[in-house]
Amino acid sequence: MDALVDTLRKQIVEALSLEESTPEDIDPTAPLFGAGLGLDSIDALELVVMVEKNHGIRIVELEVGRRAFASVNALADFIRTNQKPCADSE
Amino acid sequence: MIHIAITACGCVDDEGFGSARVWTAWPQDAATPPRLRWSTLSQRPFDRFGRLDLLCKAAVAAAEMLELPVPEPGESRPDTALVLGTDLGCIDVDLRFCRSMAEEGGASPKLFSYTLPSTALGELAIRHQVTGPNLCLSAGPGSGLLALWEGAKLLLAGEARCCIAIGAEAAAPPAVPEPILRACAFLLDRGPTDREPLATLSFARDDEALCRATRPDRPLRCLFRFATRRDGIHTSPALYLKAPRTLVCREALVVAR
Amino acid sequence: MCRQRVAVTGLGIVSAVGCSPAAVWAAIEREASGLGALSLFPSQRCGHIPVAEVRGEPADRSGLRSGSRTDHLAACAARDAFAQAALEALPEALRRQVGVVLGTTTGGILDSEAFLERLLAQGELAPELLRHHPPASPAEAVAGALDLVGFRATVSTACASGATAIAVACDALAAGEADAVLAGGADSLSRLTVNGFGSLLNVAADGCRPFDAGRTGLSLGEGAAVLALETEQHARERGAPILAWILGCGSSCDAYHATAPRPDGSGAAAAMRAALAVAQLEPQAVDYVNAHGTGTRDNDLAEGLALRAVFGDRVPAVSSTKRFFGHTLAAAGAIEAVVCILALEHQRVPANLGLRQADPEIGIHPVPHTCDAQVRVALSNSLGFGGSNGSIVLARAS
Repeated sequence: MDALVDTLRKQIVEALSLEESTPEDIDPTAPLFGAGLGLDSIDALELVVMVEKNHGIRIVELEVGRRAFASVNALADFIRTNQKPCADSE
Repeated sequence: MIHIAITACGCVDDEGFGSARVWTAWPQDAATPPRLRWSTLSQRPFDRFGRLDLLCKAAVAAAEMLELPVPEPGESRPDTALVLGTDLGCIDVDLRFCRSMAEEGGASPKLFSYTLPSTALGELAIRHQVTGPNLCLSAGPGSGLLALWEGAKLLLAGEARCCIAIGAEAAAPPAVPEPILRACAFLLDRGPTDREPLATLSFARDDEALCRATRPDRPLRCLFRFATRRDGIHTSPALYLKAPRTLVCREALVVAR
Repeated sequence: MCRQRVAVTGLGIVSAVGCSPAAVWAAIEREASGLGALSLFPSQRCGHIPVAEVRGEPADRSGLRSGSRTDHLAACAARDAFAQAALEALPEALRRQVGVVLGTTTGGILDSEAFLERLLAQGELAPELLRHHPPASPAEAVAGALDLVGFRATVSTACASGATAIAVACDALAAGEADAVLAGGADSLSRLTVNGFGSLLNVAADGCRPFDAGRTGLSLGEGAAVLALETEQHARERGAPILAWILGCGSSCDAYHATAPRPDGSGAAAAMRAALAVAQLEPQAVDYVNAHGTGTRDNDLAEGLALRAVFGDRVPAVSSTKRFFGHTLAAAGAIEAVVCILALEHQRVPANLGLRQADPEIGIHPVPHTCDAQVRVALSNSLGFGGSNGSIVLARAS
């Protein structure tokens, strides 16, 4: 399994205080919002903060965020595409 | 004379949790106050609980002790009001948010959404689909009792048929010197109701002690003695749960009409 | 939440566009926005975003020896309302019974931020900096400044707090808990709100444009407004001049989401209908609506739908005045009640400042410029986070 996807699943559970879920519960291909985890728009914004803090990428427009958070895989792709070279990341 | 029935009450504090019907003390080895976990408090599902801040958790937990039916999808309760009283408010999460702000780009929108004591109203309203009048009040140490009184007034005015009235205080250091967890919830009903009242708030036209327990042998006893504004001084009432299943209120407000 | 009509006998207002009703109205006539640069504290991340900051130092005029910025704003407005209503003229025992009901969301947070800074930087707990943090602090400050011991409460229903405070005050008057109440709201700018709203990505870099097709978000502001409210009997008996009437207040809850409104506007519509019901008026009696109109995509759409649901084809003159004052959070409902009272007095409707092109998706046409109108009845909306909605119906005193 992709290490970045694994890391992201842990970071999502931590950032959103999902006490009732474990990282393994999150299907990397499934939509993060709407059904499933039941995340909402505030959670989306919290993930914006998480992505900046942990991966150094700042999302300033909601639309960009919506596409990036379509699923954990989509988020991993977004981070890989937008990461500055030699930037610190986990 | 007008009567408002208290048909249910619930409490969560550093000694335990429960209702007039059943009380559970925290285990001996639990922290004081203990960390609230939904699975300990209730059999019913509520996935969001872990994400709420301390004040919301306290208020929602106390309301859960009322054992209200959770609405079906699409069902709503426009005839139910919601009143919350809190002295400390959300000072705990305010400081947590400020701490998150101290990091560049770290201001947490999730914490921010909780930096309003009325978010607890919002969480309760969403869970129970309560869409009637709603109010969050502060008036010093008597805030919980004021919530009860304002709730009763809403019913008297005919603005709702029933009211969930909650008093809650919850915070941890450094916001407060010692951790605090204290929340009680009441279900007020204008009646007629098929739930037997635990107590009755009665309103009359003279200055008397007006709240009587309908069954003196029941564990719940409410004493409300109101001081009229004609006395010249408005005393700030203090409401706290002294022991499981016994509610003692000192220096409450008298209604004189 | 009111039943008999309530008399407004005094006004006090502190805002970015002026610190008196006359100054505020002059700004509305000049169509001069109060938005400008943030100077209250440095902010690397959000410092470039326009806010509506109160000029001058509120602490100089508040009459308080100490207090948070919000306490000072509240006390300035309360003193003015108290003075205009000539409540000082009451016999001492009755004067002291004047009630205080204020709405606030931030309370003393500006000081509390200093507490945490000191804790994080120096490891030092300075609890005196948290002294003004409790939500009840501004009401306590006002009561202390004016020596009032009557009914007192602080209301916190997010952005609806100012409106809710007025409603609770009307309730207290109806219940006989007070014969006169100072009611309103106050909130200061703070790092918490500037960064917090910033984190929600719904703040406008070019200032809010309520109901505009190109709107991008809200603009924060600070301020306070207080109304002196009395029962009709009390006002008439002491010969107090009546500035306006409050005919009814309505409240509802969206029960939908912590920060987003119910998209169909049904919560807001319920609050408006409830207020009209208490006022015993049909929607067509309303001449002017002061909308909540923050300028966010969600709020304005939901509120527009609500207006169309309540008023049908005949939506009266509408404007949001948020580009004048900024979104003053708990003070908004009270500031906008003052704006309605001034509109009723001057028979003019304030501009929906910032409007370039009304959003066709919303389907309402706010008033682009301050203009003449017959204004006998006004309705003011305040729609808060957590889904609390408040509406107030006001009428001209004639």
